[in-house]
Amino acid sequence: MRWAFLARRLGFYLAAAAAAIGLNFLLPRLMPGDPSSAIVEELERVSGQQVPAETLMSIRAIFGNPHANLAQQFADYLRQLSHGDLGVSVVNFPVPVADLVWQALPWTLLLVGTTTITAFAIGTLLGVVAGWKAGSRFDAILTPFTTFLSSVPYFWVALLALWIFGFVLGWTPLSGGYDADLPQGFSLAYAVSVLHHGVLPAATIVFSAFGGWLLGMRNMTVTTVREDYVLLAQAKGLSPKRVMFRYAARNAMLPSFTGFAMALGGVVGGALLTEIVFSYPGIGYLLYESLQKRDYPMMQGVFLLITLTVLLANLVADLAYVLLDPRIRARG
Amino acid sequence: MRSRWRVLLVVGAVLVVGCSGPTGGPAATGSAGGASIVYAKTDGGTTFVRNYNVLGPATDKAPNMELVYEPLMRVDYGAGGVVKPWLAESWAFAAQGKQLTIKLRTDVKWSDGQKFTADDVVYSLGLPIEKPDFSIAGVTYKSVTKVDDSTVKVVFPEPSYATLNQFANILLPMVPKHIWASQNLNTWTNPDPVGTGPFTVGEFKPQQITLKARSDYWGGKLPMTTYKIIPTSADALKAQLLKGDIDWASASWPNGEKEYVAKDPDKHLYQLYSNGGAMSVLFNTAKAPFNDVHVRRALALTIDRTAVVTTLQRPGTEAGPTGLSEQLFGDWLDPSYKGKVQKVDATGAKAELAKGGWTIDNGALVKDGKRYQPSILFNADWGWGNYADILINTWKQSLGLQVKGAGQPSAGYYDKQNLGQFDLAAASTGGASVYGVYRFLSSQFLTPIGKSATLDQGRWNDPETDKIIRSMERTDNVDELKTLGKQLQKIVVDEVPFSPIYNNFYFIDINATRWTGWPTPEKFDSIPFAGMGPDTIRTLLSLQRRGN
Repeated sequence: MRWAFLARRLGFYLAAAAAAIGLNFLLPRLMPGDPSSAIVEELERVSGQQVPAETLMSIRAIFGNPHANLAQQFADYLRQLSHGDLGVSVVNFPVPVADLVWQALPWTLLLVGTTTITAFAIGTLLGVVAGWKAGSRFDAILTPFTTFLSSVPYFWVALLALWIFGFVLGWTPLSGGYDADLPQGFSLAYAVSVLHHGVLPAATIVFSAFGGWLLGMRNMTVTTVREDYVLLAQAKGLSPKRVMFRYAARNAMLPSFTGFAMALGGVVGGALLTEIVFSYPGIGYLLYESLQKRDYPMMQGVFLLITLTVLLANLVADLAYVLLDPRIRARG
Repeated sequence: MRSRWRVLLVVGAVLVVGCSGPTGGPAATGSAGGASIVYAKTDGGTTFVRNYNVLGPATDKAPNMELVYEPLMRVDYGAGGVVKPWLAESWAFAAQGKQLTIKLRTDVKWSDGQKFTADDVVYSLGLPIEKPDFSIAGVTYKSVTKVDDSTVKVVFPEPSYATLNQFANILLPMVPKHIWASQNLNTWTNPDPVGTGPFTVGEFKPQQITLKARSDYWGGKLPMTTYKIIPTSADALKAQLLKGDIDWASASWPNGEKEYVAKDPDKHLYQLYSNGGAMSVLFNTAKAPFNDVHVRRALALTIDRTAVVTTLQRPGTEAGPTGLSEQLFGDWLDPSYKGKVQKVDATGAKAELAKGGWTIDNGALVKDGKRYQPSILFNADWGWGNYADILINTWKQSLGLQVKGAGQPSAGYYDKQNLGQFDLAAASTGGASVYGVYRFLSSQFLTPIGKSATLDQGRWNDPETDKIIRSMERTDNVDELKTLGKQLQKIVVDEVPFSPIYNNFYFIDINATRWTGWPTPEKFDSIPFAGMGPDTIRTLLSLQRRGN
């Protein structure tokens, strides 16, 4: 039973991945304009001169001809992908897209990864406590306050934080991911500078994100608390802490857990606004730049990476669910 | 030690013991960096890419490449955009401007120690011809040959006095043949560039590039040992300038006079240098009603230029009727247009319309029973909506004409402009030298509506204009050029193929705490804008350390 379920899920994800690759190939080609004309246009803007037809032809030779047979283009695209080749960035010609992605990825994983986990942990923990004692003073103050927090626009929080802590107080740097005067590598000074640069962007993300987890968890806990098995556990005389975490929270967490897995999948997409406000060198900014400059190969590369990680995270969530929730196995 | 203390405060007590040793901490390497100048780049994203393939079609290359690779000539903006020597020592035209002999400096060395020779020039100038996809500078000559070790000959298909400035283009720099000729330029990123410029790449990190000054630069000894480039955002930049973390940047700062200069007028410099360009209203002269000069004049007479620059928080940048900035072209301007900014003149505009037999009825232009309701195309990505609204309101108030706003994102904006699918368009005009500003009006760039044009998007087609432009291309006599330039100014003012609104500027932010000797808009030989090729180098050469 369990294996059949797994096989079906895997099949679904493979199909979804294939569809994602197909769409990723097709969408930019359905958009108006093509990358080679975009380059020509930019060259003409920069030089103020008409670009000869030969230039357009050789640019197409480098970046692919948008007027070639679609099936042929797709075959070329797949062949490239199978070699791990995401193509050459247009605005950074001749730098490969993969190089740019690898340069940005660690920063995003570090910043968004840790903050997603932290925000989830803080929010969930506080949510359980608030939900367990729904209506208590703790709940009555914390819950409306976090609702307010979640509705404050993130970029505003980030700009304000940068102004106060970075400029007025001078506690944190104003931009970047590390002190560029230090040699890069595994030294204590370097690690400290990475932390120093990361603390403010990280704090703003956690500050804005934990409220969402808190509210979800609180509301689920409130419902779970009234379930018979929780009453039974209490009736058995188990310690309140044990009942709260082992009985109520564990079950209330299931929906939050799915959300968490999806959020982890989204980590690779980066935190666009954070990266813009703090000039943080991650994937979010790379995507933003590629969109702004119509760098199709870079756009495609980043999109594909994001889609595939989201799919992977969903798959992991699905599999974990099988272990966590026996009802799924029963139905499967 | 204060900044160290803050670090510790943030990361916590555990690390205190670990990194408060006496030497080698972050503060020690950070501020004691000797004679270094820091430039903050706001328009290049958060990271830099190590790509010194200078001649390739990339639009985002490693920044300040002009400090490594130099062109043959430079444009002297202080003198009306004339061309002056740089790596080339002198030159002479022959054969009615179809042949150019360039003499090279003989004291120039590549940063690897080899001599810079005519072979390098022939290779560098020849690349765009041999590989058209590397022709980003858009060259007009058809061949280059070596005469001797320090002389080359360039041949043009047309008389080309006026296009000499292509050799001053930083997109057409000199590269060493002994290194470049053996590379595959379609895959080579040239990570360790060897150039004739005053700097070499010392250390390249995505968040900071350190350029090292050469000791054997032909142009003289630089006062700094390193030049650092850091990426930043427009918002962070203001704080960094105020704090003195950086020395130099190029970003517009609306209200910069109050927010920055006023805090320390001696050291906080915010400078505006005209770049020769202007934001203008372009008329589509190939279609009614803008093929009628009376309609063009009427609309030009009712543009509220002062309201636009007030909204931009840039008082005093209104363009004169010729579109030539006085800061750059003072000597070239017809005296009768000097110091003139067109005021809104509703009466004059109505008289013009009447002369052409036009009436305005219910918001539309009417003649011979035909109604025209024009629209104005603008680039919505540039936030031009505000200014378009000012134009639309003024036309409505003074003439009763209802113009529709047609904002487009960049892609659509360029497409529509190039295809001629607009009535009015808010567009940039301008260039270096009088010829450079007006060249786009030549009918050699004319294409029918529906076919893409790179220049002359307004479809201006006037034999008189063509004749003058052609004459400018066929002479290098300055007095003659000035006379021809004045004739063109008259055409622009009287016939109004386009109507300038405000002048565009290079915006320069300087914190002169560490370095003094910066040029000022009142007195400059070179514009202190990073990215201006030889001008940037000249600026750096002119600086002095403050205090020692």
